[in-house]
Amino acid sequence: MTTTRSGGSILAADFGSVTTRVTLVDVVDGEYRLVARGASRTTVGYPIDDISVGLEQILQDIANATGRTFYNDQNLIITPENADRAGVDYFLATASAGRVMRVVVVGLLPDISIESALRAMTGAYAEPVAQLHLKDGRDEVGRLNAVLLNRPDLIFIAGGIEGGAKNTLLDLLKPVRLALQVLDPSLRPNIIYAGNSHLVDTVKTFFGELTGIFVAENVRPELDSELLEAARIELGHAYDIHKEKHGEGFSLVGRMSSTGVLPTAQSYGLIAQYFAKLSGKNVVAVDMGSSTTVLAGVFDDDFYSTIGTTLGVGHSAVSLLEQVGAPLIESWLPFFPQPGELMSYALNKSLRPATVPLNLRDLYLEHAFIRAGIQFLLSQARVAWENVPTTGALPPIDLIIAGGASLTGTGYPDYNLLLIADALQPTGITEVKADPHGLIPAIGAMAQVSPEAVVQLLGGDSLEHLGTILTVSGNIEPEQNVLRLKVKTEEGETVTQDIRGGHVVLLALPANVSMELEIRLPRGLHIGGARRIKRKFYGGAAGLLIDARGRPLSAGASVAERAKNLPFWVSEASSDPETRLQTIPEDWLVMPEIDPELDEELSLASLLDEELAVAPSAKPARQRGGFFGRRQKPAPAASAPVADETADDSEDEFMALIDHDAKPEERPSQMKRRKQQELDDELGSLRELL
Amino acid sequence: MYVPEQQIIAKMTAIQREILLPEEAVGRVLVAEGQTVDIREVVARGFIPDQHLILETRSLFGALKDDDLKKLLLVKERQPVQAQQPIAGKDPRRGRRLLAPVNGMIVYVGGGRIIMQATPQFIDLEAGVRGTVSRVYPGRGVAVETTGALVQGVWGSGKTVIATLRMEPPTGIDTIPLEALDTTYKNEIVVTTHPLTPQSLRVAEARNFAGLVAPSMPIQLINRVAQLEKAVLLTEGFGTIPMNEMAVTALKDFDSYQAVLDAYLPRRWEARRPELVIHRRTEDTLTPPDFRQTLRRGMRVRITRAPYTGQIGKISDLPERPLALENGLAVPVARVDLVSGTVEIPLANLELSGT
Repeated sequence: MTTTRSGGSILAADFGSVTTRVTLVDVVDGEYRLVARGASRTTVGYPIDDISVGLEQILQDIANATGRTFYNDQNLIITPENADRAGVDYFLATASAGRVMRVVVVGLLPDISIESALRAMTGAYAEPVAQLHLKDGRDEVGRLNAVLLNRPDLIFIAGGIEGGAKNTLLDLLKPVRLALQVLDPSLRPNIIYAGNSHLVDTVKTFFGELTGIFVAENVRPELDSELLEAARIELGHAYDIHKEKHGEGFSLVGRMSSTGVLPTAQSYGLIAQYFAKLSGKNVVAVDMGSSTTVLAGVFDDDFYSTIGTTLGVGHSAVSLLEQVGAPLIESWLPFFPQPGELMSYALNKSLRPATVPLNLRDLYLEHAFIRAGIQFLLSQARVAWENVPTTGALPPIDLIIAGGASLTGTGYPDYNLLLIADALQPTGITEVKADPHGLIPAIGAMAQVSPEAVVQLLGGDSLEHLGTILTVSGNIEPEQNVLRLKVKTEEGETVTQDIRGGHVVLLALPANVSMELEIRLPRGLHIGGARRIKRKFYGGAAGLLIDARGRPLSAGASVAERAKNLPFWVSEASSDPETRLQTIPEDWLVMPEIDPELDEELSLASLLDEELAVAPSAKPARQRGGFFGRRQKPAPAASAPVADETADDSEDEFMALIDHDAKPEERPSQMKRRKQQELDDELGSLRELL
Repeated sequence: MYVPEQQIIAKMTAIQREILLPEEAVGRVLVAEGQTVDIREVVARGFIPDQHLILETRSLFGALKDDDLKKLLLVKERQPVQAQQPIAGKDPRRGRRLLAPVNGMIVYVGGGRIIMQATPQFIDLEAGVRGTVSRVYPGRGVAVETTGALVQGVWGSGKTVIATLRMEPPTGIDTIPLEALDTTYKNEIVVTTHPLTPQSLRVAEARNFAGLVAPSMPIQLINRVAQLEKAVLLTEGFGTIPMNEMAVTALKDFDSYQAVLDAYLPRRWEARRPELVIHRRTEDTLTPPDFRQTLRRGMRVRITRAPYTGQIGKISDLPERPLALENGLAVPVARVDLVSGTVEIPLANLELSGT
């Protein structure tokens, strides 16, 4: 990591699970402008497990297009920029690719400090793998094993209100310390301490010689207050170290970067907060990727962010299906899925995450995963978002910022707008911006070195203004008039249109063109609380989408209803409705025939055995027989010492196992010698190994 | 310039295989860079950590300093011990002694306690190919370079086998009688070009196949395949997808050759693919496939999504702008000439075979 200065050219790279995007901005005529951008497949995994290779490839393309050079003789990005314009002043890196941090969370109580710690982690690429607290039901040995066997990358310690109990937390930390002592120094996780500040020095002494410690403000200074920001920043630092440790070229990229490797999600949070502060309104930013989904929201000035580290439409498609469940996904399908079709789709997608649907059925499946996945994450997030009711319609969202290929990659702005409306189901009047070229991670990272670049880029047209969604709320009757729209055309003519319940209407108003609308709704219905709206609206790449389908949105209770609604909505929300109206094949409406034999297989065991899908944990390779080949061992039952004051020649468990392998015709003496030899061999091997 | 994915199917190529211990294993590499290894040679040995136990010693030996307690150890730290074996005391045969409660090893001594780890699960990692160690990943495994035929798949059942490769009979694997006197297919890796069925698995079990290579299988069979204890590799994916022509041709050419079927179960963070390797010597100097190739007109490509999954074609055009697909999307595409005619395929759905 190099030191930071201000001003000058900025090169930002974002490493997603599937795509790496690079953005070059520079000062042109006194203002930051986008100079070039490039994208390519992320080189993580087979065959080139090194993100720097893909980066080099993109920079070569940008170099060819702009005539600039980026690398020096040592193949490192030149910073700062030379007088001959070689290199850039800053190189910044963000990432959502690569493995997430495995975190053991330690706190006093599950519903207080642990809950706050988990909330702080929702904005980080972190997966809680174990929790240690006073009610975890574990003894010291259990806690020791919880740390050791979960192989954490980080231990997040919260707990204790300011000035509160000290010894109770220290008791919880003893098995953690013991675990670190047992672990090889190279495998020890770092620690974030965000608990009672009176214990900082004690904790530093307790762990200081064993591993690195990041100290943050107490996440729960009082029972009824929570401070998460400082812990989130430290989680970002820990993520940077984690990335550098875990190969895949992150180490090299992190060293070249002016800010290390920042989590991509931080950028979404920052951009959401920026727009919220600028307008004083409610803002939601969302990005569904192949592996993870980021959801950042600002409601009534309070910022929340959530990362679904196992919710994505590519690598994480299987875990998305597991978490979201088939019924929610099926609620977006205009057909009866064949038995196992959803899982089959998810598995194939996780094996080839970059692929796009080519036929209509696959497209519906893909979009059902996207809609259901975002709905699910939003419902999870709302539990933690204090200013947002946990159920029912969302409060009005004034601005949605959508990133990632899932929501911005249909190729048609109007289709993207509909997809965003379906997934987030906003209420009120909602402006929608899209980030089809993945600039948000870059812009967010730029805030670290050049806030003026952020302001100038966001003030310009870096994000695509998709349009505005006007959502009718209330008790909507299907096919009844729910809204009367009066439009004054440029020629001064007034056009009136009635909009019926259960429909969407797109007014394809181009960007930078305004139109005066007068909207009236009957009693019981409203848009953002208003029954009468008269104001000027600006268009966008898609235009104005009037959504009279109601909230919560249902595509239909039956397959037949969904087969009618879903294609029709795509057509209604299109600027070219006739060509975009897709016909659902009749056989989709027929219940699939079930192969009795396969159906039996289906019912025999859970299909969602992730171990068999894309294994999260390894299975051992081929094993030797004898001692090495014994797979099943009961867990040790007790931790008490076994004291013995007399010699005991009885066969132990180990010898008994050897017996099992003995040939029956062997004489006892032969058997004893053979067993001893086998034992010596095995122990010899083990000694050699260790 | 689009750089497509590559799934290698080659009759003769330079192969670099990474042979690694599972991520959670602790281990050591037993071979050195430049060393020649054989198929069954163990290149790394490791174990997956098991439960730890805390043994209090104060009640037996009184309060001792760490160094004094270490002096009482009757076995070395990290040395394997058996259950009931004395591990601490003044004399291993008599007097106050601490016995190991389980098979395992001492991993830490301090604070008046001995921490033992129960005997972990051991793993011997075999090379799987005959070749030269080109890289050592300390503690994890090695990369081995060799030459030969390589057929990569997309999914494996997590097992590895070395055996003779055998094509299914012309009537298909499902027609093989469950019981027969002849031992054809027994302990062999059987290739079927058709999707697996419950009957295929019954045959594999009854005739004791060593492994199976198939294009696809219904998702319903996934747990049954796991129980088979046989290496199963899928070249295309889940569902009822036929095998691509390139794989069929390559596999037919190597009928009765000895092959290594590494039915690796894809893991999110590992840079490995399930694959079938047939070691072949060559005097020619082969270079590994160029994984940075961009798509060009005239290239042979394989389609990876329905309704053309597995079909091979030639790129006839690469339109500069995204084109509208029939399903309502508009994405960057290539025009691909198939036997059945020219189709427009999203670039993201094309793969190269590395030849």
